[in-house]
Amino acid sequence: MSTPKVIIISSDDEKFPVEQKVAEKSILIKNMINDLNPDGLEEDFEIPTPNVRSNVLSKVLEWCEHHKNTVFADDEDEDVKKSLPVEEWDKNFLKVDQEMLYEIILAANYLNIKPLLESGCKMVAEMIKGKSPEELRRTFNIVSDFSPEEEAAIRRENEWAEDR
Amino acid sequence: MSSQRTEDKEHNHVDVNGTIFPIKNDENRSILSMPYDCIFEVLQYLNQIDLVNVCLVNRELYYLARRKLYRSIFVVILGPPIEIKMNVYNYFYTNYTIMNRADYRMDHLLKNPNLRFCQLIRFNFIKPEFYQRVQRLYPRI
Repeated sequence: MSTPKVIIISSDDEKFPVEQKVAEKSILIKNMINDLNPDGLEEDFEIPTPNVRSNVLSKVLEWCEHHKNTVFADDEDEDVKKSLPVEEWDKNFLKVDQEMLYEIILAANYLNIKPLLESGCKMVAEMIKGKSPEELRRTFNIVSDFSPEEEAAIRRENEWAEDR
Repeated sequence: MSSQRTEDKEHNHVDVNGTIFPIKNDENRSILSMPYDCIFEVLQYLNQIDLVNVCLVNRELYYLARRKLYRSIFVVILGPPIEIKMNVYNYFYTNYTIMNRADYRMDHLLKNPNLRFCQLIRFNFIKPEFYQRVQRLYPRI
């Protein structure tokens, strides 16, 4: 008998059969597998992900496949990890349009894949760094909802933090 | 959590205690369609110059970014001011908001309502007077 697969089903009903090791990059899925199969997987196991679309899921699983043997540092190194740049492979992998990037972040958040969530958030942070409020509005297509007075009040309020 | 968002566009996201309602269901994905905990995660990687700019983008981002901007403050009381650098993202610059020239800014800061988001104030020099005032006003910092 071949090794049982984990079959992840996207919101639009596409099935993605993957190795258990790959699927378990998602802590949510890992816990589901363990809770429902305390003696280990004996046959293929289906898991629906009702809020992840197939194009996003395939991207996320590509990441899981690539990182299936990667050992990620523990949470205790949180502060160090935070100041590290995005790993080169992840960086290229996440060079996608904004909408896809947000969907990957959402999926990583929902599926509890912390290293992917971090890389995604770092990529968004990169788009923010060094930009003026007006540039940020353009980049993210956001319209200001402040009156000029409110904007001036916020500037005054945060003035102390801007003294270089 | 299934908190319903009301029609009140200005105040529905954050209640009086600053509690954030993370449930969002926009069809059109944009940075603001992400749940607040994801946006907040993004803000962790920014320094104070960026956060000041993010505060000015719109109301929603202001509510989020000010929580990070005021969370940990490093107060420079003595000695030369610490340069607040624009493109530096090391541990110190992404974790603290630096306040230089505390001698004439401290009063102002203590009146700033956003200080309620502050969890940590560190001083580069012990000045009991400042410390006691912070303690009195914000015992949980």
